[in-house]
Amino acid sequence: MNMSVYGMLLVSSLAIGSIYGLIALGYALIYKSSGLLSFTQGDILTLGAYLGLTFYSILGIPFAISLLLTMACAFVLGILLEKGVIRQLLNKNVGAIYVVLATIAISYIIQNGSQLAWGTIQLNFPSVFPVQNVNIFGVNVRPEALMCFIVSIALMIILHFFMTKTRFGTSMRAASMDSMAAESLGIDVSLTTGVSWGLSAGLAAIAGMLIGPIYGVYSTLGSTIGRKGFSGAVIGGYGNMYGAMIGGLILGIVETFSASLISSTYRNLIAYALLLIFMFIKPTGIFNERAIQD
Amino acid sequence: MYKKILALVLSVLMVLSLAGCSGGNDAEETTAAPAGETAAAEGGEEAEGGNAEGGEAASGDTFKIGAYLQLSGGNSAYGVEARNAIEIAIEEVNANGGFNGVPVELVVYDTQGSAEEAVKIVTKLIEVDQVDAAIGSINSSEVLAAAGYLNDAGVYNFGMGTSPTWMEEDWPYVFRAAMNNGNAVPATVELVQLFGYTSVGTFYGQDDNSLTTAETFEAACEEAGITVTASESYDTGDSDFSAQVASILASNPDCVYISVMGEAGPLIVQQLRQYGYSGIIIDKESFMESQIDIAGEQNSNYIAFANPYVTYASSADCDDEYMKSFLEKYEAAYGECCKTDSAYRGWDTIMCMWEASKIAGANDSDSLKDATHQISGLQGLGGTIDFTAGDREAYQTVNKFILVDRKNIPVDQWMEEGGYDAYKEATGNEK
Amino acid sequence: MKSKTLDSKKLIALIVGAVVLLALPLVLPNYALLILSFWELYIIAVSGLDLVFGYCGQISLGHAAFYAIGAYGSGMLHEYCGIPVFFTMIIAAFISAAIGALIAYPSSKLVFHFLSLASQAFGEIVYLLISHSPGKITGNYQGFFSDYINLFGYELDSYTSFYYFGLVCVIVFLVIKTFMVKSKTGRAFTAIRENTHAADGMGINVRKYKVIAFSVSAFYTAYAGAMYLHLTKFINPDTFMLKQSVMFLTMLLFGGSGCLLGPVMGSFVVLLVNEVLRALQDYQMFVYGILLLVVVVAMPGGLYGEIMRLVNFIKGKATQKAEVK
Repeated sequence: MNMSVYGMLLVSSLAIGSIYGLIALGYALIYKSSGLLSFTQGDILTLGAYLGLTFYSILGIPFAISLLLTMACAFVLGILLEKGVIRQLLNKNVGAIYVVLATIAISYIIQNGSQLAWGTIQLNFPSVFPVQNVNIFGVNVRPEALMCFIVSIALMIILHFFMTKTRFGTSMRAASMDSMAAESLGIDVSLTTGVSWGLSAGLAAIAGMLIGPIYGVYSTLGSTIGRKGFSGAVIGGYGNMYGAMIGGLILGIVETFSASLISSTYRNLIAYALLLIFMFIKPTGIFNERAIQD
Repeated sequence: MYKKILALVLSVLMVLSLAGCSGGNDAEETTAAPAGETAAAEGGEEAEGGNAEGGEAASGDTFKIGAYLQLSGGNSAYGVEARNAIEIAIEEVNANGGFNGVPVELVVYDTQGSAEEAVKIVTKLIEVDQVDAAIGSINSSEVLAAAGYLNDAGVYNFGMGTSPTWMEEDWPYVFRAAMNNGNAVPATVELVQLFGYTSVGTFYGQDDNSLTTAETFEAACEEAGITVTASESYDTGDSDFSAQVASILASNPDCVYISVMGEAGPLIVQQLRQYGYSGIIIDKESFMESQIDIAGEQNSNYIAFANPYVTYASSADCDDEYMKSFLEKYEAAYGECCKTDSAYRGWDTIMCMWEASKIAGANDSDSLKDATHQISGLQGLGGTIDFTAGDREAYQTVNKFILVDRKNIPVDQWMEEGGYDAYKEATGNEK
Repeated sequence: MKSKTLDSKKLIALIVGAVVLLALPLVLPNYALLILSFWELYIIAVSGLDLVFGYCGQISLGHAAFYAIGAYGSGMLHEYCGIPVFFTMIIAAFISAAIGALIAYPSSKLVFHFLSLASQAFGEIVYLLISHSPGKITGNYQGFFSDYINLFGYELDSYTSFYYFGLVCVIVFLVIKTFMVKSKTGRAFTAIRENTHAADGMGINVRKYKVIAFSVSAFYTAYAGAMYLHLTKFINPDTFMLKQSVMFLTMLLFGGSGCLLGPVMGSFVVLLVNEVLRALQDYQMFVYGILLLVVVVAMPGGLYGEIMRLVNFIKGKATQKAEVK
């Protein structure tokens, strides 16, 4: 294989890797704010792709605005999920397993509901850019793939500043470190938790809208990605925002290149094998996040 | 408080449904009910209980056809379109006197893509719904799991999957009115030879149908002296195929053969083009309308395949009279043209059953089974249907097409009209 | 848990129950027997999950893997080694128990949520291995055919015979479970569930008991998987995906965890709900999701807990008889 093929593979792996990263980022936010796992991220990605398709392609709204609208819808959905389901369960003081099961139920609802709403057939998300390929250093690159990567990194940076430089972001971090202490300092922990869920839903929806033009839109679009996102989160260090993105990118690269250079038969096994290896050998992940063990 | 009510409701539901299981007739959808309004059918559960107790012969007022189809989850579009077509076919049958004067009624259940569900469903169809005939899933793996039960119960049935596997079982009551991908392989190899290619890179899905067909194809290539330069695979649910595409193209084959299913097809074509492959792609079956939508018209150029039929953007694009009339009926009923050929399979299946009932002059499974073997010269959507070869397959021949500018052109015609030279000129490829 | 005394009322109920269970095949059609056969094997699988989750407090989202190991293990031992079917089921269950121990050992350090991730990943890996086996020894996606159970020359080739066989298995497995729960091991499980650190402080070898719980659980679920294969005679990998693990968990939580009857009731209700919803066609899974959510939010005590509460409510005063956990 010549160098330009490697370049193309790199772009593909960064594109899919940054999607894993966005999903993992959502897992990190949720884990930090409520100490829980959500199994709906992948399906919110699917929903985001459908919503984006509706805004952009059916209603004819410009892409950037559609992106914001989609994010806003998902944000509200995320908050509703937290307030309407998760909070209700936590108030009843039930085991965390009920939360897990509730998020799985929601994922069934979204997956089958979107199929009823938008039909079973795979839908075409029209291209965002007028050209099919751009040539960068002799490498044929699909602009949508590049957009995936750039937007994801941009989101990561924005989130970083939001968390460290704004008042609200600081209270979110405070609430995630010690909710009791934060509450006594006058921080509305219920609000910050809700916003965390909203943000992670928003991130997943954006991810959906970013890959919609590349993969088309169908009701199981996000299920595999959502599951592999966990792997990205664990590799980076579960609960660490930066780790999530790095872990996602690593997963994307390892997966693509091992499939290309070794064998594609067990391509999907790699994500889960990496997850187990990290959990058993380096449970704190690359960013040394102490969350996984007792 | 409402928790208690919920618990009560659930326990009542439990008892009621046990009664439903033990002999009642479950809610069933008649063909008169428009698709999509079936949510109301749940209410029928209790109302209809108890009329089919015991083992009396089910035939009588209606001829009941049971269908097990995947209606939810990945690739369920195929099942839904097949159901749509079956419904309009049954309307047509009923408007023309039914099966020997008996109106036809349809019962449909969702297999969710699971073999376990398929087994439960066929047992329910046999025992509870007491169907007179059955139609099997588009997913060959579900047919493989379930059709044996229908066969053992002596229920006349058709499967709609196109994999060679389940027809290899010795099941005399099981027929197929769709193509056999295995049978299409020789024609596909001829295609490769027709273009003068001596090497091929293959890309296939791990699902039953794609894998079996690809293996048959690779073996046939070897026999024909065609080199397989690379053989790559993917899993259902994957969406990024760049690694496999890069490996295939790195092996520098004359052409690429894809044996893929559903949602993956267009993405693979797109990514092949993305990675700079402009040559002819050989597909195991037709590249359907729904797939062209996703892959893009430009990318879908020069896909060659062997199949009994092709899909159309709308009935207006179709020249074949019989196909056109079917597409018009479909459009009239559902507002848009069918995008997959699974709709054709559904229609052909009902038509074969109907023809068998006419030949037999009776509606019992054994007469229908025997009569089906006598069907010949029946007009089907993919040409002439002929069961007389005795292998329980409707289509013995396939047609070769190539997709250019969203039109499926017969390959011979395309070659004659200089299409191949035009292709070389347009793409700058030597082959 | 306090032990029950067998008073005369309960004895009568038991006898009536036994007669009903034994007489069912005489009155029910095959379809109902098939569902009941599935019920039996689900009781065993879910009881296994109950040991690890309900008693030991360890979550698993990967029990479909053990189900698969049982099914494929038994099928392959029969196909390639020629061992009669009933023995293959037991051997496969032991293999599964060993694998369960192997995976539980490094997992035992993980806290709750991450155990669910690790077990899910394990489930996916097993699924990918059976669907991509080298040399297609599992039949991959084409599926795997096997034979009926052969009990010393007598073939269980009807749903009726399978139903009786399953009934015996259920009783055996439930009796073993009851003994186990009441033993020292069972008490250690409960101690770990209530407070791992305290259990550790009490001198309980936490890791050892977690491994035991997983291993026994894997045995139960694998045996159920083997029953499934020899009931339907055909399996393919699609049955052994995450959805199946979720199904086990749903059944357990539906019925109520940490008790003998929970898995029995839970699996029955979930199976029936699925059968009832079948008529909805495309809407089936959507409605199932909503129902699942409503049940999780509205009655987290499980059906067993709710019915007990209802019984007490009807009796007017809350007696302490009910063993609601």
